[in-house]
Amino acid sequence: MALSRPSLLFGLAALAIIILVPWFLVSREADRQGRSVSELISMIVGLRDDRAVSAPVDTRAERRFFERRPIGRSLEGSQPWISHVTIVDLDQDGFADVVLCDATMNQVSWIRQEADGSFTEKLLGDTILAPAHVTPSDVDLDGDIDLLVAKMGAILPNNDKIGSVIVLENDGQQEFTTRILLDGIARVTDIEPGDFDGDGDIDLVVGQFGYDDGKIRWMENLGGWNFESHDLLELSGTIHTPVGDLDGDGDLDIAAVVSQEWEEIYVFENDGKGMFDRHLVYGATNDDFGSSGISLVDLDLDGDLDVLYSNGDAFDYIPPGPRPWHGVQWLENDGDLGFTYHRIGDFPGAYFANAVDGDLDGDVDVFVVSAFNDWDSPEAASLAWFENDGAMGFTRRILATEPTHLLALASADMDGDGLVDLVTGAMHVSPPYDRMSRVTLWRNTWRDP
Amino acid sequence: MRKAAKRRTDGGRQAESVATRLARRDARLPLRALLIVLVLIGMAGSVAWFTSSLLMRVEPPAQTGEPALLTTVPDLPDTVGALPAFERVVTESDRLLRQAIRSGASPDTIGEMAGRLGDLYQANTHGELAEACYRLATDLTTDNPRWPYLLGYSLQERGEAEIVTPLLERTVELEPSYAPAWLKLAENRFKQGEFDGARAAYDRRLALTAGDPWALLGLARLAIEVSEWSQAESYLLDAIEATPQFAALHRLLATVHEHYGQTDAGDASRQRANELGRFYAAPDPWVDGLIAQSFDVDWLLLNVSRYALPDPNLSRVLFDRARSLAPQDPDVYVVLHEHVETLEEARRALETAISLDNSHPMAHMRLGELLYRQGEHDQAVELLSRSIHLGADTADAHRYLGLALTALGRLDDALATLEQAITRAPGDADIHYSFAYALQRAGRQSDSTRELRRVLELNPGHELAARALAIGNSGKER
Repeated sequence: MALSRPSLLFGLAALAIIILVPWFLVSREADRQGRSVSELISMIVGLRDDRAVSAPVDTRAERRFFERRPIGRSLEGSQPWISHVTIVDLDQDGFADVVLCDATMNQVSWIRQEADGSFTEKLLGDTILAPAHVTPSDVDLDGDIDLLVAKMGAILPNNDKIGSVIVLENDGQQEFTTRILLDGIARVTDIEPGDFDGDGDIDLVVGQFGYDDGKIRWMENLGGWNFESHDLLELSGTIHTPVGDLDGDGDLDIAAVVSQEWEEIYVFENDGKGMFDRHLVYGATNDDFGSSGISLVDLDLDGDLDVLYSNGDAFDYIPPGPRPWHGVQWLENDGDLGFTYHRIGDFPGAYFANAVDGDLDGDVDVFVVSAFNDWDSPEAASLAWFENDGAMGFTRRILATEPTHLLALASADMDGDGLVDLVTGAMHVSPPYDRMSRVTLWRNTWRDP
Repeated sequence: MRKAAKRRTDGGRQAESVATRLARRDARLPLRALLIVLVLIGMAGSVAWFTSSLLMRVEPPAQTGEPALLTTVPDLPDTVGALPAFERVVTESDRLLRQAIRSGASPDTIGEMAGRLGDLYQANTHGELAEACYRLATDLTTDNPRWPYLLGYSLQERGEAEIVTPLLERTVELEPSYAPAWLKLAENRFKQGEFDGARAAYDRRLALTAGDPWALLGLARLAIEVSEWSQAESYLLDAIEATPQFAALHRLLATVHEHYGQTDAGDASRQRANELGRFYAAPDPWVDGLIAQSFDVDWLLLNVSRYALPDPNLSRVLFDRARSLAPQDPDVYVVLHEHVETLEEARRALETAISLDNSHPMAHMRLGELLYRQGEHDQAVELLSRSIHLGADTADAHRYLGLALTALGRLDDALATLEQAITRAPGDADIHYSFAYALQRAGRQSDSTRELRRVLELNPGHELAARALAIGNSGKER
């Protein structure tokens, strides 16, 4: 059927409008924006999204340069609660081993590295309820490595005096005798060794998280496994009490992170004879900051010890979950026990950080594990590193999204290849349980791009 | 014939009709042309409007000549995984702000819009973007105390302290009657070792809110820092008199008692603190209200728990919002069961959670505990066993499983389970009491008596254990 001429004219006019009006407008806008018409059309129809969107820091130039493999006992159907891992050549055979606290089995355990790079695990000492931290130290100065064990008594919040200060004494053949130096005290979370009074023996500093009644004390070694306690601070929530010469005067000072509602970092300045002055060197005014750990390291390589500090604890609310302010920071040592706060970056659930040169470029990078990320999301990271640009600028890069719930982290060259490897421990206190691990070795495979 | 005549007649009519129509058409031609033109104009307008609306979706690139302020507006966040409603709201707010900047709106107008976009980011856990917006708002508006305060608040959430002080000082200068700002300023100064400044700010807070427990707690901490222990005790006792339910006061008072060697008083204060629960932050209307703008369900649920004690009304608002945003999320109903008034409501909430996720360990555990209390022991055993299998391997799960097994007379299983509970919480007197009861049911009287003594060691005020010991058996389970 032929169209009438008026109808044809009407159709042509409509077609011209449908084509020419958009063409005119798009051309004019493209000209105004300095773009080509085809580029603008692509953006309109959604082939190209040029809206200003924050680039997620995680995905830029991502390089996952660690090969992971489980070491030690298998899961055996359990939901592991590994509360601490440390790397030490316990039997002094030239191969780095792993010592860990297993709060499910309630025991300290040793994962020994054989000459061929394989690992075998052995339980050490007696049952210790909820061991939270183990520190290798030759406490009795007999040439072998003993283990200082902080016993919490219960990992989850508890107000009872169920903590203990324990030494697993090595007989030189890696058979360990359990010595309880102090018992029936608020939950103990850290024990660190040091000669605080300059008398040549090993004293201890003890951090007690407690719940309502934590404490920090140092225990003066009187000889014959006798110790005398000296209180340094009576606040709940102490997590770590690392030791180092923070003021450069040649003796050992003590740093401490106190969480709960306080969220503070203290330095106990030693006069060299075991008399300490307390300094509040940092405090967050966010009562839910979630302090989770500190370590002492010369992060900026200027010759003094700085404080590397993670905040990502979320044990307290149900359901446990990350907070937007979780992350990592460092306190720059300015001298005279003055410290300046620097945020390194956000990392949900950040539980512990290690500062090492992971990419052999001469500066110190920061590796972090997450225990409380949003594990329902398959993209939630459990291990990340903040790459140092050499000028203390850090870029976060994801290393792993599984296994999840990584709470403990240690680093050392495990295989003698000159690269720093990592060991992680997982604490599966909450679901999901589909990407579990116990102890994992992350072998560094870095090669310069 | 008739047919031919008819055809002729019809042909005549047709000829007449065509002629008539042509005549009429000639008469209507201008009207029709006008109509066609109008249709075409309307069509052109519609096409132009539609094209323009598409073009508005494309953000023009930054160009020389664009207002410099535009570079201070943060880029939109990655909204993958976020609710579409959030993406819509934040995109529109961002667009309007940029439009206002381009159109040369007044600094106050732009500042207010930036601040409100900051509110949206802050409420939806985009702290760094919130900071950028609040910074813009702070720079552009000179008389709104909210923006420096919220910028400072957002920064301190991430641990910043030194740079927060001047922002808080500006806030109290603009709004001296906003008590939360004085408290934040005091805490910030205290944690930086500026004790005199902290004391002055705490005093201003107290002047605005007499007997304020947070200010008195802060003053007590200041007193302890300078070893004025009796002054600290005085502040704490004043605060406890005004606000006896604030756990943090009792906790710090326990520390003071410890300092004086008053062990019993210290224990009593700690016990009181433990009964009263966690520390909670002082009310802060400018901040607390922001969370109600959140589209993040997990964040809302977390804050339901966080505000349950200090601000139940806000807690309820946050919960309702979470449920309306995600009615199929089982965690919503697990949280709900903690806040309903009757056991039946709690049961329904937990059953809903399990119907939405049959492997939710906490929902199973809570429902098992609830059913035990309601005397439905078989079902309780099933649910608690499953909850432990799913990962709720807690002392409470083992305890209630042990109690349900005891009630069913499965005493060997009950004793083994309660031992597991004790392993996980050896200092829990109630668990030891449950164990003593199961031992007594199993006929192990001397073991039961030993456990009851252990209960009283752990909690000398445990009346049931004392009574059971007095009458020579372990009494009835609570």
